[in-house]
Amino acid sequence: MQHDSILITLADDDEDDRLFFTDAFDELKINTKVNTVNNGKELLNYLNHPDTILPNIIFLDLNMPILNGMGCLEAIKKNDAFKNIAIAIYSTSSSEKDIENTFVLGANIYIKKPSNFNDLKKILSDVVVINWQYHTNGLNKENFLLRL
Amino acid sequence: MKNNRYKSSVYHKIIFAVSLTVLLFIAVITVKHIKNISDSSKLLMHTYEVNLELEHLYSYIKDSEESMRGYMISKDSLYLKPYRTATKNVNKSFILLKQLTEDSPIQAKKVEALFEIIDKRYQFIDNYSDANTTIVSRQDYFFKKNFRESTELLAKIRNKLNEMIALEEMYLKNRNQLYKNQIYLTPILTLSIIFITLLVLIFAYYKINKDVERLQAANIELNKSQFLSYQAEILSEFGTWEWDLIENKISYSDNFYRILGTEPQSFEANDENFDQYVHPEDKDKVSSIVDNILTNKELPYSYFRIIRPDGEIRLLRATGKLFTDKLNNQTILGVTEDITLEDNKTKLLQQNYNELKIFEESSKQAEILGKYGSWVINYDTMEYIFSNNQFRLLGYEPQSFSPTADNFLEFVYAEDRHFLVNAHEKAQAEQIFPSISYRVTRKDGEIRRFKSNATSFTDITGTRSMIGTTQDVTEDFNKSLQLKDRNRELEQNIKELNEFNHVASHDLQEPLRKIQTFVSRINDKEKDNLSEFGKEYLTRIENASNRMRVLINDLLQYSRTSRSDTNLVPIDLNEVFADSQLELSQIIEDKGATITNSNLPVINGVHFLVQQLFSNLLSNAIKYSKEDVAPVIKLTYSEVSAKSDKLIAEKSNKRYYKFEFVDNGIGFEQEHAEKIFLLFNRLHGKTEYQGTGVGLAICKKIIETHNGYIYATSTPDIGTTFTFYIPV
Repeated sequence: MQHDSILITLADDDEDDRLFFTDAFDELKINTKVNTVNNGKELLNYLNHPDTILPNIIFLDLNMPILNGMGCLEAIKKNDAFKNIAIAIYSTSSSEKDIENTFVLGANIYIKKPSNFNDLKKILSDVVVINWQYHTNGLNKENFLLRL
Repeated sequence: MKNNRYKSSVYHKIIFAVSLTVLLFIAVITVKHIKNISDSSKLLMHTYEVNLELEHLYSYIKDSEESMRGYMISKDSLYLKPYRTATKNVNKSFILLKQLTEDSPIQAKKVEALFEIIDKRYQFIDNYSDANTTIVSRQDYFFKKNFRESTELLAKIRNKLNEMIALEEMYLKNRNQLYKNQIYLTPILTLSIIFITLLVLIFAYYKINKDVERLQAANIELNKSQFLSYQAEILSEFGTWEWDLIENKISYSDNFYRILGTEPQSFEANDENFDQYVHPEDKDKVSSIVDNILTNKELPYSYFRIIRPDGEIRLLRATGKLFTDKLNNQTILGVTEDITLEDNKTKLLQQNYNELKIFEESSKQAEILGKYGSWVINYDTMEYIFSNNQFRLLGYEPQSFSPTADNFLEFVYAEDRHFLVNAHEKAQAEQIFPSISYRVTRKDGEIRRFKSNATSFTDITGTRSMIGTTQDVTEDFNKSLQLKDRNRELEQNIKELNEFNHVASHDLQEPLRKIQTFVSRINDKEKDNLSEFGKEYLTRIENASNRMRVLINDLLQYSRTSRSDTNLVPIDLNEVFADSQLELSQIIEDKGATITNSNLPVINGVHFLVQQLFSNLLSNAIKYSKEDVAPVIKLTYSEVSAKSDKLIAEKSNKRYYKFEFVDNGIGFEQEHAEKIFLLFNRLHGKTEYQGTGVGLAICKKIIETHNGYIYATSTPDIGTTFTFYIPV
């Protein structure tokens, strides 16, 4: 395991989306290590597993079976051990309600899944290279939703 | 008091008559007494006169005797002369005595007897008085006999005289006694007269004094009551007047002048002067009143108006009665009262009464129309008073039974009785009657739902009661039940719609997004490996999926604008319009559009919705611009009322901002003007002008959300005007 690479976890129940996600990172020339889980429950299990090295960024789909993104976000934010993990909401929806709720629960950024692979690559690359320290300090509702 | 005075005067008369009678009586007695005394003294005098005359008579007889004797002796005729004088005197004296003794028959008889004797005596004497007779001798027997007889006769006369004198003396004695008695009575009588007169005087003085005192007291009372009536006149706004019918003189009280609005006694009281104050319309009335007084000698209640010098109109009421005093003076005593205030009050009362009557009548009708009844419950007796309709609500004829708390409860559905009982308990304890709803069984057996309200009321006698209304709300209640069901359905529908939105936004978009992503993957990686045919198909897939995305997005947006929880706040349309232009800056620049607007107002609205409206209108105008002409767009506004505007169907005074959004685009046939606002409705082919037919539908929806109207007027090749109205 390489310590200088950025650890990224995606929680998404959609197989296609997981594929696009991993493909996009494969094509991006960034030193990242991506792993995926199928739902919120799996994510929490993974995070709570003693062997797990905590990821730097979690990409969280909202619409998931068993435990959805919202519940997951809540659980993660409650646990002090995960306070350093940046959470990026990664959803098909761009409804005001979802954006509002996740913001209030403490997500760091909101990404609407693009319908073009190149856009996806661009957006993921942007997210990974963000200086999280800086972004989190100046976080507000306007820049919460990442626009291309 | 008047009665008393009257009595006293009769009393006075009696006293006066009695004293007068007493005094007269005493005077008569006194006069009689004095006359008695004078009679007594006359009688005394009479007695003396009789005695004197008798003495005279005797002396005359003696004189004649003596003279005769002288003649006989001397035969001197000289003696005959005194004899004849004496004889004459005897005759005179005899006549006098006869007169004097007329009053006493005894004396008269004695006088007669006396004169017989005297006559005899004179016959003797006369025998010798003849000159031819010569005394033959003194010793002649006849002579001697005659002589002796004549001497005897003289003695008899003497005797008779003495008898008479004795009788007179007896008379004198009696008379003297009577006189003495009467003289003795005189001072007693006089004293008693004086005494009685004094008594009468004292009594009269006492009586008069007492009357004067009473009169003075009465006078004070009269002054007081005069003063009171003077004040009463001012206070009660009435004046009095007197009209002497015989002398035809009128006088007014001070306050009468004040009622007329003038200074007291400021003009001479008479008809003509008074007439100047009478209201022109009432002048005839007043003159007939005056005529009536003169003919009927009384004035029944009469009403007329006057105009005071300051122009104020007052209503007066006058009445009068004939007063005839003891001197037979005929005076009409009258009272004239200013009843303007009273009249106003009466009118007001009448008006209030009328209003109350109207109110009562209308409330009766309202009760029937509104299916409610009213009632009052007296908590002391627990008895109800029901309005007519309250009975009807229970299925009874009005006032067909006496309602009480108990028998009303009989009507109430057993399970609901506690509502009513609790309400009355609460009302008695806290004077608050809670609004309650309960079921009753009507006379015809139908179950109805009632609703009752009441407020506490304490009347003037302090009786606590509740005034309440009861409404038959059965229909309303059923309707509200239906409404509740409908509401529930509606809520369910909305929930489903929201779910649909969710599905549309997530579940429909997701496969689409994937298709698009896969297409982009193929485009990136496999494009070179595809035949021209495959490339074209791939492009068509890309276009179709793009269009689907636009459709879904528009649909989402449309459904989002219809959310009813919009909160209208003041927004400056100048800012909103600028925001819209900023949003579309790229396309505006590309097409070289010119956009102008007048200074726009502040309206109550939702910023993002109105911005959406403007953006849609702008993009619509730009999209449907003529190919070779740069779009020119103008937004203006004015303020109108709904009634005065031709386009709005609403006919009210409601004020609207009227906006006109004018472009110089391709326009359309006016017949399509309504169709363009329908969802997914398009006038042009997809290939000519891109669009989903949602934009204007959204505009209409946004305007409706703002309680406004939107219309389109268009002429092909000239341009289109969108006119929309938003309430001020």
